[in-house]
Amino acid sequence: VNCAEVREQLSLWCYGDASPADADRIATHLESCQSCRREEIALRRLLGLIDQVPAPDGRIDLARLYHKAMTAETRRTKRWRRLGLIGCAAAAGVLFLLAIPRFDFRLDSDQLVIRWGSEWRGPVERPMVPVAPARQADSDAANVREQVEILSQLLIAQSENLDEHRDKLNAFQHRLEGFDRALLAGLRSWRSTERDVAALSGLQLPPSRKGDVHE
Amino acid sequence: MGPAEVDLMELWRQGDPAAFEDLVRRWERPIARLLGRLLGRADLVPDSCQEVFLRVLRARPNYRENGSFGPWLYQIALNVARDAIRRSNRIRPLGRLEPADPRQPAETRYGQQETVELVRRAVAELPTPLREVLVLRHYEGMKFEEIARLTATPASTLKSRFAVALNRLRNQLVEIGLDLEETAP
Repeated sequence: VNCAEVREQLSLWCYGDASPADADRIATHLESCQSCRREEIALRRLLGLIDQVPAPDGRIDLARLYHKAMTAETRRTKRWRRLGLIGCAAAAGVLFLLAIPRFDFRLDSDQLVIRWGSEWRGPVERPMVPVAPARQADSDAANVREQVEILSQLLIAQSENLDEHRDKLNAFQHRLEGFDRALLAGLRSWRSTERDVAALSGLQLPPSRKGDVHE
Repeated sequence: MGPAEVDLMELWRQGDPAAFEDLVRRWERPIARLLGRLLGRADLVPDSCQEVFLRVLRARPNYRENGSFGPWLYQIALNVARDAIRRSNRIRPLGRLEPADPRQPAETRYGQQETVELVRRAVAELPTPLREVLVLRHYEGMKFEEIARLTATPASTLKSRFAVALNRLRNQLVEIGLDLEETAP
Protein backbone atom coordinates (compact mmCIF):
# COMPACT_ATOMS: atom_id res chain seq x y z
CA VAL A 1 0.00 0.00 0.00
CA ASN A 2 1.12 3.57 -0.60
CA CYS A 3 0.84 6.58 1.73
CA ALA A 4 -2.38 7.91 0.16
CA GLU A 5 -4.17 4.61 0.68
CA VAL A 6 -2.90 4.37 4.24
CA ARG A 7 -4.03 7.90 5.14
CA GLU A 8 -7.40 7.20 3.62
CA GLN A 9 -7.83 4.15 5.87
CA LEU A 10 -6.02 5.58 8.87
CA SER A 11 -9.10 6.75 10.80
CA LEU A 12 -10.78 3.36 10.37
CA TRP A 13 -7.57 1.60 11.36
CA CYS A 14 -7.30 3.71 14.54
CA TYR A 15 -10.80 2.57 15.54
CA GLY A 16 -10.20 -1.03 14.55
CA ASP A 17 -12.71 -0.81 11.73
CA ALA A 18 -10.30 -1.74 8.93
CA SER A 19 -10.47 -5.24 7.55
CA PRO A 20 -7.82 -7.63 8.98
CA ALA A 21 -5.90 -7.66 5.70
CA ASP A 22 -5.90 -3.84 5.46
CA ALA A 23 -4.96 -3.56 9.13
CA ASP A 24 -1.86 -5.72 8.62
CA ARG A 25 -0.78 -3.79 5.53
CA ILE A 26 -1.27 -0.42 7.29
CA ALA A 27 0.67 -1.57 10.37
CA THR A 28 3.55 -2.75 8.20
CA HIS A 29 3.55 0.53 6.26
CA LEU A 30 3.53 2.67 9.41
CA GLU A 31 6.62 0.87 10.74
CA SER A 32 8.57 1.95 7.69
CA CYS A 33 7.02 5.36 6.81
CA GLN A 34 7.89 8.23 9.11
CA SER A 35 5.47 10.66 7.41
CA CYS A 36 2.46 8.35 7.84
CA ARG A 37 3.60 7.63 11.37
CA ARG A 38 3.47 11.36 12.17
CA GLU A 39 0.02 11.44 10.56
CA GLU A 40 -1.14 8.64 12.79
CA ILE A 41 0.22 10.40 15.87
CA ALA A 42 -1.53 13.63 14.94
CA LEU A 43 -4.75 11.75 14.43
CA ARG A 44 -4.45 10.06 17.80
CA ARG A 45 -3.70 13.45 19.34
CA LEU A 46 -6.87 14.83 17.75
CA LEU A 47 -8.91 11.90 19.04
CA GLY A 48 -7.45 12.49 22.48
CA LEU A 49 -8.54 16.12 22.35
CA ILE A 50 -12.02 15.12 21.18
CA ASP A 51 -12.19 12.76 24.14
CA GLN A 52 -11.49 15.63 26.50
CA VAL A 53 -14.48 17.67 25.37
CA PRO A 54 -16.79 17.64 28.36
CA ALA A 55 -20.32 16.36 27.96
CA PRO A 56 -23.21 18.13 29.61
CA ASP A 57 -25.00 16.34 32.36
CA GLY A 58 -28.75 16.19 32.48
CA ARG A 59 -31.40 15.40 35.01
CA ILE A 60 -35.01 15.05 34.01
CA ASP A 61 -37.57 16.84 36.14
CA LEU A 62 -40.32 14.24 36.04
CA ALA A 63 -42.97 16.55 37.48
CA ARG A 64 -42.22 19.09 34.76
CA LEU A 65 -42.21 16.31 32.19
CA TYR A 66 -45.65 15.06 33.21
CA HIS A 67 -47.00 18.61 33.32
CA LYS A 68 -45.61 19.30 29.88
CA ALA A 69 -47.13 16.07 28.57
CA MET A 70 -50.50 16.99 30.02
CA THR A 71 -50.31 20.50 28.57
CA ALA A 72 -49.35 19.15 25.18
CA GLU A 73 -52.21 16.65 25.30
CA THR A 74 -54.68 19.40 26.19
CA ARG A 75 -53.34 21.58 23.41
CA ARG A 76 -53.60 18.73 20.95
CA THR A 77 -57.17 18.01 21.99
CA LYS A 78 -58.08 21.66 21.56
CA ARG A 79 -56.39 21.73 18.18
CA TRP A 80 -58.34 18.67 17.01
CA ARG A 81 -61.56 20.19 18.32
CA ARG A 82 -60.81 23.43 16.50
CA LEU A 83 -59.99 21.51 13.33
CA GLY A 84 -63.24 19.59 13.70
CA LEU A 85 -65.22 22.79 14.01
CA ILE A 86 -63.46 24.31 11.02
CA GLY A 87 -64.17 21.14 9.06
CA CYS A 88 -67.85 21.22 9.98
CA ALA A 89 -68.09 24.90 9.07
CA ALA A 90 -66.38 24.24 5.75
CA ALA A 91 -68.70 21.31 5.03
CA ALA A 92 -71.72 23.45 5.92
CA GLY A 93 -70.41 26.21 3.64
CA VAL A 94 -69.93 23.78 0.77
CA LEU A 95 -73.40 22.33 1.28
CA PHE A 96 -74.84 25.84 1.39
CA LEU A 97 -73.08 26.79 -1.83
CA LEU A 98 -74.32 23.58 -3.45
CA ALA A 99 -77.87 24.18 -2.20
CA ILE A 100 -78.19 27.79 -3.40
CA PRO A 101 -78.53 26.98 -7.13
CA ARG A 102 -81.11 24.33 -6.25
CA PHE A 103 -83.23 26.76 -4.25
CA ASP A 104 -86.02 28.46 -6.17
CA PHE A 105 -87.78 31.41 -4.57
CA ARG A 106 -89.92 33.77 -6.54
CA LEU A 107 -92.98 35.89 -6.16
CA ASP A 108 -95.40 35.77 -9.05
CA SER A 109 -98.41 37.95 -9.51
CA ASP A 110 -100.72 35.31 -8.14
CA GLN A 111 -98.46 32.96 -6.17
CA LEU A 112 -95.35 32.69 -3.99
CA VAL A 113 -93.08 29.87 -5.10
CA ILE A 114 -90.53 28.32 -2.70
CA ARG A 115 -89.00 25.19 -4.13
CA TRP A 116 -85.79 23.26 -3.34
CA GLY A 117 -84.30 20.21 -4.87
CA SER A 118 -84.91 20.77 -8.53
CA GLU A 119 -82.08 21.65 -10.81
CA TRP A 120 -81.83 25.37 -11.42
CA ARG A 121 -82.71 26.32 -14.94
CA GLY A 122 -83.19 30.03 -14.56
CA PRO A 123 -86.49 31.83 -14.10
CA VAL A 124 -89.32 29.46 -14.81
CA GLU A 125 -91.85 30.62 -17.34
CA ARG A 126 -95.29 29.25 -16.60
CA PRO A 127 -96.55 27.56 -19.73
CA MET A 128 -99.74 28.88 -21.17
CA VAL A 129 -102.16 25.96 -21.39
CA PRO A 130 -104.31 26.35 -24.52
CA VAL A 131 -108.03 25.91 -23.93
CA ALA A 132 -109.99 24.10 -26.62
CA PRO A 133 -112.73 26.41 -28.15
CA ALA A 134 -115.38 23.68 -28.15
CA ARG A 135 -114.86 23.03 -24.50
CA GLN A 136 -115.08 26.78 -23.82
CA ALA A 137 -118.39 26.97 -25.66
CA ASP A 138 -119.72 23.97 -23.80
CA SER A 139 -118.77 25.59 -20.58
CA ASP A 140 -120.50 28.87 -21.51
CA ALA A 141 -123.68 27.05 -22.58
CA ALA A 142 -123.76 25.17 -19.34
CA ASN A 143 -123.40 28.44 -17.44
CA VAL A 144 -126.24 30.04 -19.42
CA ARG A 145 -128.43 27.00 -18.93
CA GLU A 146 -127.83 27.15 -15.25
CA GLN A 147 -128.64 30.84 -15.11
CA VAL A 148 -131.80 30.35 -17.18
CA GLU A 149 -132.85 27.56 -14.88
CA ILE A 150 -132.40 29.82 -11.90
CA LEU A 151 -134.35 32.63 -13.55
CA SER A 152 -137.19 30.32 -14.50
CA GLN A 153 -137.43 29.07 -10.97
CA LEU A 154 -137.53 32.67 -9.79
CA LEU A 155 -140.29 33.46 -12.27
CA ILE A 156 -142.29 30.46 -11.20
CA ALA A 157 -141.95 31.52 -7.61
CA GLN A 158 -143.02 35.08 -8.51
CA SER A 159 -145.98 33.85 -10.52
CA GLU A 160 -147.09 31.72 -7.62
CA ASN A 161 -146.89 34.81 -5.49
CA LEU A 162 -148.97 36.72 -8.02
CA ASP A 163 -151.69 34.05 -8.02
CA GLU A 164 -151.79 34.17 -4.30
CA HIS A 165 -152.08 37.98 -4.30
CA ARG A 166 -154.78 37.80 -6.94
CA ASP A 167 -156.77 35.36 -4.85
CA LYS A 168 -156.43 37.64 -1.88
CA LEU A 169 -157.54 40.58 -3.98
CA ASN A 170 -160.57 38.70 -5.24
CA ALA A 171 -161.48 37.70 -1.75
CA PHE A 172 -161.18 41.31 -0.65
CA GLN A 173 -163.32 42.44 -3.57
CA HIS A 174 -165.95 39.88 -2.65
CA ARG A 175 -165.97 41.17 0.83
CA LEU A 176 -166.28 44.76 -0.46
CA GLU A 177 -169.26 43.72 -2.59
CA GLY A 178 -170.77 42.08 0.42
CA PHE A 179 -170.29 45.26 2.38
CA ASP A 180 -171.91 47.25 -0.47
CA ARG A 181 -174.86 44.97 -0.54
CA ALA A 182 -175.19 45.17 3.18
CA LEU A 183 -174.98 48.95 2.97
CA LEU A 184 -177.74 49.08 0.33
CA ALA A 185 -179.88 46.79 2.42
CA GLY A 186 -179.27 49.07 5.37
CA LEU A 187 -180.24 52.16 3.38
CA ARG A 188 -183.41 50.49 2.14
CA SER A 189 -184.21 49.48 5.61
CA TRP A 190 -183.52 53.04 6.81
CA ARG A 191 -185.75 54.50 4.09
CA SER A 192 -188.51 52.11 4.84
CA THR A 193 -188.23 52.85 8.48
CA GLU A 194 -188.22 56.57 7.73
CA ARG A 195 -191.42 56.27 5.63
CA ASP A 196 -193.02 54.19 8.28
CA VAL A 197 -192.20 56.80 10.88
CA ALA A 198 -193.49 59.60 8.61
CA ALA A 199 -196.70 57.74 7.88
CA LEU A 200 -197.16 57.18 11.46
CA SER A 201 -196.62 60.81 12.28
CA GLY A 202 -198.56 62.14 9.21
CA LEU A 203 -195.77 64.21 8.05
CA GLN A 204 -195.16 64.85 4.33
CA LEU A 205 -191.80 63.68 3.41
CA PRO A 206 -189.74 65.94 1.05
CA PRO A 207 -189.06 64.56 -2.38
CA SER A 208 -186.03 62.34 -2.54
CA ARG A 209 -182.78 63.84 -3.78
CA LYS A 210 -181.27 62.84 -7.06
CA GLY A 211 -179.10 59.86 -6.60
CA ASP A 212 -181.04 58.52 -3.71
CA VAL A 213 -181.68 54.93 -3.77
CA HIS A 214 -185.21 53.76 -4.47
CA GLU A 215 -186.65 50.40 -4.41
CA MET B 1 -28.96 -4.88 38.40
CA GLY B 2 -32.57 -3.98 37.87
CA PRO B 3 -34.99 -5.32 35.30
CA ALA B 4 -34.17 -4.96 31.63
CA GLU B 5 -35.46 -2.01 29.63
CA VAL B 6 -37.87 -4.21 27.71
CA ASP B 7 -39.41 -5.40 30.99
CA LEU B 8 -39.61 -1.85 32.30
CA MET B 9 -41.24 -0.71 29.10
CA GLU B 10 -43.76 -3.54 29.33
CA LEU B 11 -44.50 -2.66 32.96
CA TRP B 12 -44.95 0.98 32.02
CA ARG B 13 -47.25 0.04 29.14
CA GLN B 14 -49.34 -1.81 31.68
CA GLY B 15 -49.64 1.42 33.67
CA ASP B 16 -46.76 1.30 36.17
CA PRO B 17 -45.40 4.86 36.45
CA ALA B 18 -42.44 3.68 38.55
CA ALA B 19 -41.19 1.71 35.56
CA PHE B 20 -41.13 4.83 33.43
CA GLU B 21 -39.33 6.72 36.16
CA ASP B 22 -36.75 3.93 36.32
CA LEU B 23 -36.26 4.14 32.56
CA VAL B 24 -35.79 7.89 32.75
CA ARG B 25 -33.23 7.61 35.54
CA ARG B 26 -31.27 5.01 33.59
CA TRP B 27 -31.16 6.92 30.35
CA GLU B 28 -31.26 10.62 31.24
CA ARG B 29 -27.49 11.03 31.52
CA PRO B 30 -26.54 9.09 28.36
CA ILE B 31 -29.20 10.93 26.39
CA ALA B 32 -28.10 14.30 27.78
CA ARG B 33 -24.49 13.56 26.82
CA LEU B 34 -25.52 12.47 23.34
CA LEU B 35 -27.68 15.54 22.83
CA GLY B 36 -24.98 17.87 24.14
CA ARG B 37 -22.52 16.53 21.61
CA LEU B 38 -24.98 16.40 18.74
CA LEU B 39 -26.18 19.93 19.41
CA GLY B 40 -22.81 21.39 20.36
CA ARG B 41 -24.56 23.62 22.88
CA ALA B 42 -25.11 22.85 26.54
CA ASP B 43 -27.94 25.38 26.90
CA LEU B 44 -30.17 23.45 24.49
CA VAL B 45 -29.69 20.15 26.30
CA PRO B 46 -32.28 20.35 29.13
CA ASP B 47 -35.20 21.21 26.86
CA SER B 48 -34.14 18.71 24.22
CA CYS B 49 -33.72 16.02 26.85
CA GLN B 50 -37.22 16.75 28.14
CA GLU B 51 -38.49 16.56 24.58
CA VAL B 52 -36.94 13.11 24.08
CA PHE B 53 -38.67 11.65 27.12
CA LEU B 54 -41.84 13.52 26.29
CA ARG B 55 -41.89 11.72 22.95
CA VAL B 56 -41.24 8.44 24.74
CA LEU B 57 -44.19 9.23 27.01
CA ARG B 58 -46.43 9.94 24.04
CA ALA B 59 -45.23 6.87 22.15
CA ARG B 60 -46.35 4.48 24.88
CA PRO B 61 -49.58 3.36 23.14
CA ASN B 62 -47.74 2.75 19.87
CA TYR B 63 -44.56 1.17 21.25
CA ARG B 64 -43.97 -2.34 19.93
CA GLU B 65 -41.34 -4.30 21.75
CA ASN B 66 -38.66 -5.74 19.50
CA GLY B 67 -35.91 -6.06 22.07
CA SER B 68 -34.10 -2.87 21.10
CA PHE B 69 -35.13 -0.15 23.48
CA GLY B 70 -31.72 1.63 23.33
CA PRO B 71 -31.60 2.11 19.54
CA TRP B 72 -35.25 3.19 19.61
CA LEU B 73 -34.42 5.84 22.22
CA TYR B 74 -31.35 6.93 20.27
CA GLN B 75 -33.50 7.30 17.18
CA ILE B 76 -35.81 9.63 19.08
CA ALA B 77 -32.85 11.59 20.45
CA LEU B 78 -31.37 11.93 16.98
CA ASN B 79 -34.68 13.28 15.62
CA VAL B 80 -34.99 15.72 18.51
CA ALA B 81 -31.44 16.93 17.95
CA ARG B 82 -32.07 17.41 14.23
CA ASP B 83 -35.24 19.40 14.99
CA ALA B 84 -33.41 21.56 17.52
CA ILE B 85 -30.55 22.24 15.11
CA ARG B 86 -33.02 23.18 12.42
CA ARG B 87 -34.71 25.64 14.78
CA SER B 88 -31.53 27.17 16.10
CA ASN B 89 -28.83 28.70 13.95
CA ARG B 90 -27.23 30.61 16.74
CA ILE B 91 -24.15 28.48 17.20
CA ARG B 92 -21.16 30.78 17.19
CA PRO B 93 -19.04 30.25 14.10
CA LEU B 94 -15.55 29.02 14.77
CA GLY B 95 -14.07 31.48 12.29
CA ARG B 96 -14.60 34.34 14.73
CA LEU B 97 -11.78 33.02 16.86
CA GLU B 98 -8.65 35.04 16.53
CA PRO B 99 -5.76 32.91 15.25
CA ALA B 100 -2.98 32.55 17.76
CA ASP B 101 0.27 34.46 17.28
CA PRO B 102 2.49 32.11 15.22
CA ARG B 103 5.63 33.66 16.77
CA GLN B 104 4.67 32.19 20.14
CA PRO B 105 5.91 28.66 20.93
CA ALA B 106 3.28 26.06 20.12
CA GLU B 107 2.96 24.82 23.68
CA THR B 108 2.16 28.32 25.00
CA ARG B 109 -0.33 29.48 22.32
CA TYR B 110 -3.31 27.82 23.99
CA GLY B 111 -3.82 26.45 27.45
CA GLN B 112 -5.30 22.98 27.89
CA GLN B 113 -8.81 24.23 28.62
CA GLU B 114 -8.68 26.65 25.73
CA THR B 115 -7.60 23.86 23.40
CA VAL B 116 -10.46 21.64 24.53
CA GLU B 117 -12.88 24.52 24.04
CA LEU B 118 -11.54 25.05 20.52
CA VAL B 119 -12.04 21.38 19.74
CA ARG B 120 -15.55 21.48 21.17
CA ARG B 121 -16.44 24.41 18.98
CA ALA B 122 -14.78 22.82 15.98
CA VAL B 123 -16.92 19.70 16.49
CA ALA B 124 -20.00 21.91 16.87
CA GLU B 125 -19.14 23.64 13.59
CA LEU B 126 -19.15 20.40 11.61
CA PRO B 127 -22.10 19.87 9.27
CA THR B 128 -24.80 17.81 10.94
CA PRO B 129 -24.28 14.53 8.99
CA LEU B 130 -20.53 14.60 9.75
CA ARG B 131 -21.09 15.51 13.39
CA GLU B 132 -23.68 12.75 13.81
CA VAL B 133 -21.36 10.01 12.60
CA LEU B 134 -18.44 11.39 14.64
CA VAL B 135 -20.51 11.53 17.82
CA LEU B 136 -22.10 8.12 17.38
CA ARG B 137 -18.84 6.38 16.43
CA HIS B 138 -16.36 8.17 18.68
CA TYR B 139 -18.36 9.07 21.78
CA GLU B 140 -21.06 6.41 21.75
CA GLY B 141 -18.78 3.67 20.42
CA MET B 142 -21.39 2.41 17.98
CA LYS B 143 -20.36 0.25 15.05
CA PHE B 144 -20.89 1.66 11.58
CA GLU B 145 -23.50 -1.02 10.90
CA GLU B 146 -25.47 0.08 13.96
CA ILE B 147 -25.21 3.72 12.91
CA ALA B 148 -26.34 2.69 9.44
CA ARG B 149 -29.49 1.12 10.87
CA LEU B 150 -30.11 4.14 13.07
CA THR B 151 -29.67 6.78 10.37
CA ALA B 152 -30.81 4.69 7.40
CA THR B 153 -27.54 5.47 5.65
CA PRO B 154 -25.18 2.91 4.07
CA ALA B 155 -22.22 1.97 6.27
CA SER B 156 -19.77 2.76 3.46
CA THR B 157 -21.14 6.31 3.28
CA LEU B 158 -20.80 6.64 7.02
CA LYS B 159 -17.18 5.51 6.92
CA SER B 160 -16.40 8.13 4.29
CA ARG B 161 -18.17 10.78 6.32
CA PHE B 162 -16.24 9.77 9.40
CA ALA B 163 -12.91 10.19 7.63
CA VAL B 164 -14.04 13.52 6.17
CA ALA B 165 -15.17 14.71 9.60
CA LEU B 166 -11.81 13.98 11.19
CA ASN B 167 -9.91 15.62 8.34
CA ARG B 168 -12.09 18.71 8.44
CA LEU B 169 -11.75 18.91 12.20
CA ARG B 170 -8.00 18.71 11.96
CA ASN B 171 -7.84 21.32 9.19
CA GLN B 172 -10.04 23.73 11.15
CA LEU B 173 -7.84 23.39 14.20
CA VAL B 174 -4.74 23.93 12.11
CA GLU B 175 -6.32 27.07 10.59
CA ILE B 176 -6.65 28.66 14.01
CA GLY B 177 -3.08 27.80 14.93
CA LEU B 178 -3.40 24.45 16.68
CA ASP B 179 -0.89 22.31 14.88
CA LEU B 180 -1.45 18.73 15.95
CA GLU B 181 1.62 17.40 14.19
CA GLU B 182 3.75 20.01 15.91
CA THR B 183 2.36 19.16 19.31
CA ALA B 184 2.55 15.48 18.71
CA PRO B 185 5.26 13.78 20.69
